[in-house]
Amino acid sequence: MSLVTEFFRIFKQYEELNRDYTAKETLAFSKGQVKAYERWKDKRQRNDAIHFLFMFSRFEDFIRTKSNELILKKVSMPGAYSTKSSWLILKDYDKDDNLHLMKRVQLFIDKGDARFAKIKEYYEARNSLAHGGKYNTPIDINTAKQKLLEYSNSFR
Amino acid sequence: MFCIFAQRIEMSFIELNTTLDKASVERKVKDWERRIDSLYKEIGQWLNGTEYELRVSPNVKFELYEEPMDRFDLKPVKLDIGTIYRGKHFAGKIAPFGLWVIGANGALELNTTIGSHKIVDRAQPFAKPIWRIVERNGFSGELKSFNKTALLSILRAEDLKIR
Repeated sequence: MSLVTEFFRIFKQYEELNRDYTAKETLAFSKGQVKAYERWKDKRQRNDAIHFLFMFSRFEDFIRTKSNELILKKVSMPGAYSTKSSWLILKDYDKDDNLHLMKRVQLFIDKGDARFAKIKEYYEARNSLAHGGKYNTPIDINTAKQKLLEYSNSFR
Repeated sequence: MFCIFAQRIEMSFIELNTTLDKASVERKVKDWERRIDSLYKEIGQWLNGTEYELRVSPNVKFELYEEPMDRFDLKPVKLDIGTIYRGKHFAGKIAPFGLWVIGANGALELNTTIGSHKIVDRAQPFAKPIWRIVERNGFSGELKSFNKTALLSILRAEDLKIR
């Protein structure tokens, strides 16, 4: 399944829940039901976090696949050992899954590039959420979805 | 020393090009309060003479307490929520969404009972705000200027569906 299709499905599911929670949150607010309003607001925030994590996990898998393909391609190219020794080392790291995600990104995008910085921002937001951080990092799923898809074009 | 360094590393996803410290976080929160206040005033002027009116909610506030505030032991800040009425009827609300949002210098949401729209500030931190509204078009979205025309067009379209 392509990354676009995966994102589309995740986003559709996110939207269904978000629309429902937003409607309930806004209705509670319009009626002055403060506790209900807070409850639906929290649910919406958790929904953002859950779907962002899910979406980023697909993006991570995409980078893993693309970097793996690149390493194998470089290793199998004809040439002297000295011309591909670094790729052979990377192949070992890749095989043992010891290649950090941002290093995989670096195989395609320069560290000084704005896209690298943005992917890193999302990656660190993902880490904060996934490793027990509070839900106090606001995630705009719409922007995240669009940006990650845009960045995915760099992994060729 | 190590703690401060570690904190700054962890903060990097929030503001890559700025070194965050307690004073800069406080300054940014104050600036956010000011920008929201100014935006509500501007919206109030846009709606003047129309069928709509914006009132700041006296009872319900938005609690701002994001990661950087937590890290530097700052207290949560209560921010105003704007309620839009058509006569006595609720037509929508504008509330903050987040300050340290990736890709924007803060975001708010305009919610009616049938729709939700993000309003983002595309300006650099502490610069004059450049408010944009995300116009959804199926799976993708586009940023449009957030002005009187954009606001009234959303309110009127969604209000019609509710009535």
